[in-house]
Amino acid sequence: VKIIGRILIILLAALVVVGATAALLNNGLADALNLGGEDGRPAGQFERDERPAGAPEGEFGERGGVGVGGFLSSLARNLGVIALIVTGVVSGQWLWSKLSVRRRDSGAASSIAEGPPEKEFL
Amino acid sequence: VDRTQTRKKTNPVKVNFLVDLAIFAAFLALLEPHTTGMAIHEWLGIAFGAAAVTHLVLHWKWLVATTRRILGKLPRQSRVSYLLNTLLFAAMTILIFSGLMISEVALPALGLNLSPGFTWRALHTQMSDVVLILLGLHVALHWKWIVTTTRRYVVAPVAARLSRRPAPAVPALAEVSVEEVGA
Repeated sequence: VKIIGRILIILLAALVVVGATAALLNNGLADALNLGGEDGRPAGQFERDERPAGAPEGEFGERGGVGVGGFLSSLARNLGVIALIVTGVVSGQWLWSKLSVRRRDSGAASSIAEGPPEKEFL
Repeated sequence: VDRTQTRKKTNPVKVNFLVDLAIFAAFLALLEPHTTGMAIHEWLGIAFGAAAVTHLVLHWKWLVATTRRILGKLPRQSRVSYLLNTLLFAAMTILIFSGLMISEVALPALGLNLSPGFTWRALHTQMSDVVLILLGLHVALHWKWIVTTTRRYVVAPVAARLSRRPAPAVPALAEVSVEEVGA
């Protein structure tokens, strides 16, 4: 029962996202993101298999390469994107931690060099 | 015999690791609809949605605890992670829903015929790029856990199994060189 409740909450959150997306699409988001057609018809009015002007031949709008070579190059590209992001974030975190340790150490060293704080007389 | 006593306790970390690995592999496969074909792409996409829900249920405690503390005191990493996960959830939801809207195999097989538009198709393609980037960031933020868990549950068992193998018939190089030095 607990798990079903949690699943329902997740689905409800998903429903909110879907509702917001549909509402935004109806209020001009499609035009803003350039998702609609260019031949005067409003966004979302294209029928199945209908191709707007300028769209390439084949199954337009779909990712992935054709054939084993295309599949491997597409897979390598997707993994490459993820690897690039991971490398950037992890090296950034490492650099940040090194810098903060150095800053902390230099702060501690300067406070030792200055000696104990003078007694304040009120 | 009490079955609860004899049954092995499932390791939650191992379950998380397996679910995450399956989600990652499924996402990579979903990015290749030309290779998998539309039927597999669509059914795998639906399974991917169910796996994503499972992932959220498995991390429910973190989700609730962080949501409660999001407006109060919270470490910066947790705050960034929460924001990123929210964006990832929204992007994945749009990706799956737009996929359902342009479904050519799965939904018609269930008796549902929608009238897909170019907008949903274009949104589906753009969202797959967004989710790829957000997933990369999600993986990056959990990189330490991924490395540690892979070492513990993949590298260590394989290394232990390899070291337990019986000695080969041909003497190892090190042994030969020691004997030669001794002679």
